[in-house]
Amino acid sequence: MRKLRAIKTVQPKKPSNLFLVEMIIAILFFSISGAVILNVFAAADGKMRRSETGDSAVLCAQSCAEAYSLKGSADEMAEIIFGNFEVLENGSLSISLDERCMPSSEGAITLIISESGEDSAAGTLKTAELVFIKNSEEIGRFVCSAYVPRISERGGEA
Amino acid sequence: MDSRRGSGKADIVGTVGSMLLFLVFTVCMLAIIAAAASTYSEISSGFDRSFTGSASLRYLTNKMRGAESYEIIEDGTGIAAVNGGITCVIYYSDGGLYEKNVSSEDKAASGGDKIFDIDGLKIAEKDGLYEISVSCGEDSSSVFIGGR
Amino acid sequence: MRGYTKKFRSGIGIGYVSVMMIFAVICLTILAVLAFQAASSDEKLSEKNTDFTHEYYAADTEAKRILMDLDNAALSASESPFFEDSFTELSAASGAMLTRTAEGFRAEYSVELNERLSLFVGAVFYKVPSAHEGERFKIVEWRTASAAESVDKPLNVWDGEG
Repeated sequence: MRKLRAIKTVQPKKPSNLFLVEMIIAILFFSISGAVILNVFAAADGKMRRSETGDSAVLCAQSCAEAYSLKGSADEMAEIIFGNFEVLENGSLSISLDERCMPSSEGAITLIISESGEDSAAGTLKTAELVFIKNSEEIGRFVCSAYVPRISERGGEA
Repeated sequence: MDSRRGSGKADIVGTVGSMLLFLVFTVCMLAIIAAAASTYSEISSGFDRSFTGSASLRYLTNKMRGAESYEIIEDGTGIAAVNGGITCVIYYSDGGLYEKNVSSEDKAASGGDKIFDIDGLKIAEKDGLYEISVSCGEDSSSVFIGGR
Repeated sequence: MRGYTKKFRSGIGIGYVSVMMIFAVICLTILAVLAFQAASSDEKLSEKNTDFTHEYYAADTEAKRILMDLDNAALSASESPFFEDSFTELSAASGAMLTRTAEGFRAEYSVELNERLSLFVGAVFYKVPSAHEGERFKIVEWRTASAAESVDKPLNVWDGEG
């Protein structure tokens, strides 16, 4: 008589255990990838904001340069473009701007305008330096100029 | 028998739990993909908006700087820039910035080719300067340029 | 028969979660790369604009410096008995091209802005400033143009008539 060998049954591992393990690994991998991808999105968003601010600063600087070229005075230039401004101790002008470089009382950006000049017998070549500062960091620096001739006294009005 | 029943219940609980976890995972995943898509859409439309607005302003100012003379036409919604006998007429109409080059004195704001999609253009004189404002949607940008 | 246990399947098969996870990561990666690319393009464009603005106003400042030199030459020349000769001599260093006109001289010069563009300036310097409210010059041209254009234009030789 053949002895029936005892069939030792091995209980198969429950498929739900494997599924749980797979889920856990998937969630782990997804979290790590998600964190990296979120960083990329944040970097892209930061770049966009910086370039928008930079563009606004360039347009603002261009307006200031054109006004300065016409008027030859930083005060008059600031009056036309921004309306009001603050004069610092060293004679520079300080203007508070928002993210789009529009005048704002509590803006994130500060524009500092400092003037210098090169005198000659015929007139003065005035130079204005525009520095845009955000969070104590310089985001743009532009230089513009204006030539202010001295009207000859002999010719008429001084 | 009881142990079999007990293990059966455990299996059901385990299965339901796994499926719930799977459901939560799927919902989170779809939500994150939706959020990422909307962020991309915002970045892309922000890029379009700022590009169109500032590019059209720069185009206008560069045209004015390169002209021998220019004048404002159509009540501040266009300019006619003359250079080398050619008049370049740039004007706003019907949701866009249009441009045409004519050799005659014709400064009519019509018959041009669309160069930018914008929602408004206004050119005003202020203290000897020209203020050019372009609006795209809710945003608007402006720049001053010296008169000629 | 002993030990035969009924297999109990879970509701979801093995592998589906991995496939979904891979799909989601691929979608997110593509979106992130596209967003970063758009932002990078915008940043490059913004940099080019900033560079052009710097170049333009640097050329503008240089042009004004040359104008100041010419103005100084005109001021000195107006104090001498021979305005034309004196002005021609004193303005030689500026490199401007001078053309005689009824009122005095037309000076034309260009300042290089970048590889493609230059700033062209034209100004009329008066022999008699008092006839023009004391002003020694008037700017008649201040424009950008292709660097290939040169200041050499046909000379407007004054024929003695107004």
